[in-house]
Amino acid sequence: MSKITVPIGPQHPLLKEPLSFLVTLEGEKVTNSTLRLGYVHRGIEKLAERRTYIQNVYLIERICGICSHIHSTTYCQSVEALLGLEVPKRGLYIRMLLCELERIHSHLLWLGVLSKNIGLNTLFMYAWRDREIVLNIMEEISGGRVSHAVNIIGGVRVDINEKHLSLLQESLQELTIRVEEILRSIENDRSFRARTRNIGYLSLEDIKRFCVVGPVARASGLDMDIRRDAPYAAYDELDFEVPLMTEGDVWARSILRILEVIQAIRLCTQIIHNLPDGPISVSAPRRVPAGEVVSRAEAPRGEVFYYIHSDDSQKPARLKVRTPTLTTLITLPGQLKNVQLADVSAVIAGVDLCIACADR
Amino acid sequence: MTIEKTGIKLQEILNLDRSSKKLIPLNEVEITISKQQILLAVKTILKSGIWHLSAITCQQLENEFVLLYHFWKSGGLTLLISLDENNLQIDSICSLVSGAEFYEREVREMFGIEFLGLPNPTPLLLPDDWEGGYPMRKKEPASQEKSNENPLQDKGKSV
Amino acid sequence: MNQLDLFFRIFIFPGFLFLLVTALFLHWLDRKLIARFQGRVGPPWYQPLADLVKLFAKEDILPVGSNLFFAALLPLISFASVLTASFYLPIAIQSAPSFQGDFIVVLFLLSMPSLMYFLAGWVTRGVYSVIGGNRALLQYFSYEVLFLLAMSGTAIASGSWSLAGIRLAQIKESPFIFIQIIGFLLALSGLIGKLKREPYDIPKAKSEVIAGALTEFSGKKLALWYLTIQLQTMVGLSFLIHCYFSGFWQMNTISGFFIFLLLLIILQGVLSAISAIYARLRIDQLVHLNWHILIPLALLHNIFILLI
Repeated sequence: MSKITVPIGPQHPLLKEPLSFLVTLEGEKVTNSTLRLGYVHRGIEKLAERRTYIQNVYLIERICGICSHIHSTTYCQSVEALLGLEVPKRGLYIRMLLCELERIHSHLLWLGVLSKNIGLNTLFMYAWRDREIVLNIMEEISGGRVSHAVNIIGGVRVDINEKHLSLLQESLQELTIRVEEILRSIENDRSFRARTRNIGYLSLEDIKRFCVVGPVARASGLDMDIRRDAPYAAYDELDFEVPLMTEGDVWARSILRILEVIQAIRLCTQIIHNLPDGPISVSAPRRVPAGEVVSRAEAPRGEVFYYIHSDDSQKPARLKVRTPTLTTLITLPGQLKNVQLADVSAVIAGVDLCIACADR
Repeated sequence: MTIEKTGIKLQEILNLDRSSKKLIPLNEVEITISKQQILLAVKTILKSGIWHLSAITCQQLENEFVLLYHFWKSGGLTLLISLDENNLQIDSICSLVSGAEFYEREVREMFGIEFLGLPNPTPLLLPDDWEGGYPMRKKEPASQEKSNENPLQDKGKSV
Repeated sequence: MNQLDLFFRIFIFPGFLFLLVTALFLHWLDRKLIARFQGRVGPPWYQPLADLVKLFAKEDILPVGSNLFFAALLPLISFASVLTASFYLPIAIQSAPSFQGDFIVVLFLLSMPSLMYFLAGWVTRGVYSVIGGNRALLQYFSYEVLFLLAMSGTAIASGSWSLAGIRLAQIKESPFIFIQIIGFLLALSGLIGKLKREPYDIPKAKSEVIAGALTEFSGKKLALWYLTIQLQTMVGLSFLIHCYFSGFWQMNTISGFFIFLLLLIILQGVLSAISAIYARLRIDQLVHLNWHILIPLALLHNIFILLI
C-alpha cells in the first residue's frame, strides 16, 4: 500500500484549536506522525514583563478560555506570597468554588468533544446540555460564562449571597443526577467501549519518563494531585478523594474524568456549607519587593506551574508559565504509532488538548 | 526521599557551601550549582526518587543568564545555574529526563542557549521562517519586521 | 389520454414530484427525530428544501487537477440510477411494470451510488476524498453482500425473481415479515450500511476525513449528491416494505397508500433511533461484524427458508 500523508490541522473538525499533525498512513495504519505547535503563540511571557502586576491579572486570564480561573488563581497566589499577604478565608473559599466549577465545566466540555470525535453525537449533546447548568451558575456568580475575572491580588472581587447559595444547591443536585447517568452510560455502552478501549495506551514508566501530569497520568496509575499533596488555597480543610485508574487507555481517562467531576461536585457542596464569614480580600500594595516565588495548582488538565522573579518595582522581571498540556503533547507521537486512522480522533481527544494553554 | 534530605545530599555530593541553598516562597528549596555539575545533580535527584520535572525557566539578568530546573515531589526543589553571556552552552538532560525536551527547545529558541545533546533542536513555538532573533531577550523586539504574506499559498482558479 | 396519464404517472405521482417530496419529508423526519433524541428542537419542516435551494445558488469549485467531466457526470449517474430503480418498485402501492429478474435490477441500481461515491473521491484528488472513497469501497463489499443475501430470502420463499411474484406469494400466504423477521433485521442493517448512516458512516466521518469523497464538491453537484442519498433512503425503504410487508394492502387504493406511508415513517423512525444510539464503528470492526457474524447468520437464515 502506498504512503499517504494526511494533514490533521491546522484547521480540522477534530481540533478545537490550531495544531499541526502530519500523519503518514499506510492503508489505514499510522506509521509516523510529526507535531508542530505555535499557531496560537501570543508571547504572553514577554507581554507580562511590560505590564504591571495588576494589569497582568487581566492578561493571565486570557491564556486559555477553559482554565482561565486557575491561571489567575496561581498568579495571584504567587504575587500574594511575594507581598506577604494573607487572603481571608472567605476569599479562599470563593476561589476554590470557582476552581471546582471550572473543573466540572472543562470535563463536561471534553466529554462532548470526545463523543463527537468518535461519532456518538447523542452523548455530545447531553454533556453540553449539562454543561449549561454549570455555566449558568458561573454567570450568576461572576458575570461571565467562561472568563470570570474574579481574582484580584489580595482576594476575590465578587461575593456570594443567599440567592447564589440556593441556586448552587439546586443546580448541584441536578448535576449530580445527570453526571451519574453519564457515568453509567459510558461504563456500559458497547460502542463507546469499542472505540476507546485499548487505544492510546500509556504505561506508568512512560508517564514518569515524560513527566506527564493530570488525568492522563492518573489514568495510568500515577497518584499525583497538587490539591492533596501540596495544598493551596484552603484545600487542606476540605475532604475529597483523588480517583485513580490503572488501565491507561482512553476509556480509563474518560471514566476518571467523570469520577473527578463527581468529586468536584462533592467539594462544591462542602464549600457552600462551610463558607466562613468575613472580608473577601485585603488591599495589596502596587510595588512588589524583590524575590522569587514558585507556585503550583491543579488545573483541570494537571499541574500548572508559575515562577515569578521580581525586582523591586511594579512590573515583574520574569514570569514563567508552564501549562499541563505541554506535558501530554510529548506523548502523542508515541501514542499514535500503529494506530488506525479512525483511532487518531479518539487518541487526540482523549488527551484533552488545550493548545492555547500550551502555546501561550 | 524528601526534598529536605535530597537537598542535603546534593550539597554533600556536589561540595556546595551553605549559602547555595535557600528557601523561597510556597515551599520551594533553591540550590545554586555550577553548570558542569548539572548532569551529576540530576542523576542524584533521580536516584533519590524525585523524577517529576515541572519546568525549565531561563532569565536574562544584567550580565548573566540564569537557568532554573524545577523538580517536585510533595515539595519543590529548584536548581539554579548561572551562565556567562559569552558562553551559553550547557549539557542537555534529555537523556535522563525525556520530558525535558519541549522545555529545552523552548528555552533554546527564546533565549538562544545551546543545549548539547538535545535530540530534536527545532523550533517549538516560533514559526519555521522566523528571522527575528531571540524574542525573550531584553533588548530584542517581540515581533519581526516581515510581511504576513505566505509565499507558499497557491491562489487556485474556480471551475 | 394515455399520454397525459403517462406524463402524470412519471412526473407527478408516483413519479418525480412525489418521490422528491417524500424523500425530503423523510429526511426532515430523520433530522427532527435525531434532534429530539438528543434533547434539541430540530429543524423546521422546510429545512431540507431550503438546504437544496441554497446549494443550487452556491459557487461550484473543484481543486486544480480534478477531472471536471467526470465530477459533473458522477452525481448525475447516481441520481439517475436511483430514479430508475424507483420505476420498477410499486411505490405508494401503484402497480409497476414487472418482469422476471427486476428484483436483481433494482438491487443493482440501488448499489450504483456507492460505486459512484468511490469514483467521486478518486476523481477530485484530495487526500480526504481518496481515503473516504477507499473506505466506501471497503464498506461496499461488506454491505452489498449482506443486503443481497438477506433480501434473497424473500425471493427464495416466493420462488420467483420478480417483484410481482414476491407480492403474489405474500398475498397467498402471509407477509414475509412474520416468518423472516431475522432476514428483515439483517436487510435493515445492510440498508444502514448502504446509506452510510451512523453507526456505519465511516466514509464520511467528519472528525477523520472531513466529508469523505464529497469533501471537494459544492454547489449543484453537492445538491445532487444529497438528493441521491435522500432518494436512496426512500427507495430502499420502499423496497424493504414491498418485499416484507406486501400482504397488508390492495394495490392502487387509498388505504394502501396510507399504510405504505405509515410503514415508511415507522421504519425511518427505527433508522433514526439506531443512528442516535450508537457510536461510529471503525472499518475493521465493521468488516469483522459483517463477515464473522451477520453474513453467516444470513446464510443460515436462507438455508432455513429453503428447507421450510
